[in-house]
Amino acid sequence: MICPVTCRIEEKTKLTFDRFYLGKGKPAVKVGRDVSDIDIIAHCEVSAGQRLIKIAHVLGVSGKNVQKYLTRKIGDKVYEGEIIAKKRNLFGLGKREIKAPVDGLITEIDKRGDLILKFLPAPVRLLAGATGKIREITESKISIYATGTKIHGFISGGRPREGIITLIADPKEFIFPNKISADSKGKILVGGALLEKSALEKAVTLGVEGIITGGMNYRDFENLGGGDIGTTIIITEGFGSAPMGDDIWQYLKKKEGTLGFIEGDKNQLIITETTDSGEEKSSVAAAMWREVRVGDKVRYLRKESSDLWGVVQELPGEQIINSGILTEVARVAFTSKQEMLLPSANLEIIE
Amino acid sequence: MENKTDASAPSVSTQSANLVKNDSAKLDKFVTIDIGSAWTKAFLVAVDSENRVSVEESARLPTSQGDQALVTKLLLTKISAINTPKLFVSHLPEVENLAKKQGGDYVEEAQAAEFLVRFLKKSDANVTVLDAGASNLKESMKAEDIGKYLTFQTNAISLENFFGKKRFKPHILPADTKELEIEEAFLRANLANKLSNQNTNKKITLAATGGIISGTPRLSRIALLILDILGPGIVAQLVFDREFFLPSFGALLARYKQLQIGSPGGWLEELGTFVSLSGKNTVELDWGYSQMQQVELSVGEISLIPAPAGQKIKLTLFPSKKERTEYGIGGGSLGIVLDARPKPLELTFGQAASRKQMGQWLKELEQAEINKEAF
Repeated sequence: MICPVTCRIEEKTKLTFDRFYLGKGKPAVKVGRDVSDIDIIAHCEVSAGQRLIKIAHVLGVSGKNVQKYLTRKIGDKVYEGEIIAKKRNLFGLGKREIKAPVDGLITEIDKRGDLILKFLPAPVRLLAGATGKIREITESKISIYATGTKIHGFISGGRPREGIITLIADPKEFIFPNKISADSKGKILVGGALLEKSALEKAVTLGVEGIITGGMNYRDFENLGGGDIGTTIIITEGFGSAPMGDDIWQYLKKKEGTLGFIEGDKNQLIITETTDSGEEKSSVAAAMWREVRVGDKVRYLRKESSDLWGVVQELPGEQIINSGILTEVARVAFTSKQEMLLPSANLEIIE
Repeated sequence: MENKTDASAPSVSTQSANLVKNDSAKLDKFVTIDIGSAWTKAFLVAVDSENRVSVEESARLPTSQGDQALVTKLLLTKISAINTPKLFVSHLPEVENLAKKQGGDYVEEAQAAEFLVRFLKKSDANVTVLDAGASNLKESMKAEDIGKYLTFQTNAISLENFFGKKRFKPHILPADTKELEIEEAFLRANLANKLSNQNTNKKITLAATGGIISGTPRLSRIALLILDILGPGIVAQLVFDREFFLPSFGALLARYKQLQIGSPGGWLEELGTFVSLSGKNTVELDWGYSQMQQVELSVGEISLIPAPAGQKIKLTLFPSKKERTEYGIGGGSLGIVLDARPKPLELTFGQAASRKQMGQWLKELEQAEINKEAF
């Protein structure tokens, strides 16, 4: 029987670590240069959007007359609190003023008398995040050849983000909103058997960078719509309640407080090393299969059980399993010493 | 393979000329490799002088997603495939290249299905292939439409999670009877939609194949599944592909014209005739003897009348007092199965009575099958 082969933790291997510019970026390094994790590798400018200000409506004038009430023109930089339009009332009795709500650049005033104030770009320094050598610089990213550990999940969603790894629940616990504290902004939260929808909503509101958990209901995962909802998620085990595997849990427990890079598009978390001394190992392909053998470490997803890991003891051939189906079976001894005869096709080989 | 009916199938003479090898070379042995989304099946088949196709050896393994060459290589070591022409069939476009590399021929699954329906149409004009393969999982079904067929208590979220996992790992086998029931329930909901437009005045032929249908532990489970999805007044002759061989057979039909005039071998099992009476009714069975057999069924009753494969019977139904409809039917492994349960079935997800009722029907049919085997 052949089974999928999964490498859940690729520890301390050489990897190409991509650092994407945050907005418009200008590299501060050249290809071939050695960098440490705290080195600045690019200067970026992040523009967080724009604000529409209804000048005509607020002043009570028609759109075509707005120009004569403006104190600033298109192309001007304005700062928060600065008056951008004012109108004196009839007979000079009082006046109406409109102030800039944020620092910004006036980019447009349309026929309806609405003014577009584009937020001023904020300078952001992009740190290397890993110790290694600059391998490639493109218009969107800088790639660093570095050493790190990759942790792969069952499924994931969301764009690449980074945050401090923070444990919030034991592997068997459900993640309800109360598990997500108010100071979770900028963190990657780890733990639990089931991420509740309400907890996910709270995490997005608070600005949590990522969540790594054992399970999530399929309907909630489907509702993510394959895009980015503001937080990146990695589900390590499967749909429904599934306690986080001890391998991932123990590893992340050791790494609590360190910076992690969560990539929902690649279904992985990267934790880089501060020294560049990893082994040159080839990465395991996502869809690798091979014949199951006696002695293989395997994973078998069981409902409501965290005892998912075992070693194949025997491959006795075809037998009728509990569902009545005739198929090849494997005798597996689980970590708890419990032995079970299982359909070989349902095993996942762990390397 | 998708479910196909004969309605739109082009005739062999007009469209198949460029698809079918018209060589008169003596057909002998072939290896067919059917690469599905979940499982890959390989068969060593022999064709006799009367163009009957028999399966001599078979093997199956989960499809190694992303590397179909691996599963193909392993399967070819499990059957005697040396110097035997290879024919690949799949809906996965990358298999065409794999077939070329292996020096084999390739037939797209949709084309194989088309030829299969045409072939089956020779014995009955109204044919539907019921494919229980993993491709059905792509279709979304409401949890309550699935859950109403279960004999145990569960909730919509658990069912969704189960099928979510199946969508990502379609090769996973049902490990216990509960999981088997969930998969069967999904098929009921899925296939019932596909059978919903059947004409009640004509007998239909259903060819059941793939997934948990072919791998079923008991024929009585398939029998109940089919009965549950038949609308009121439907008379259906059921052929059953225990070997998962139908797509491969369709591919052979698409490539070798001489097989189109042959007949399938023993791998295609005749299960018999299924009649959905939908309430209290009387039927007449004419076995060709001096007397007619009358069978009266009360509301809710399911009756299994033994009739061997090959046995021809005239069935008369009485839809109303003044109306009678005759059908020429055949027997099979299960014989004639008469179902007087009102349709659509009065089952509701989450109700204890529905769970109990489903359990009772399953038990009754299983017992009837055991009794028949003993007989």
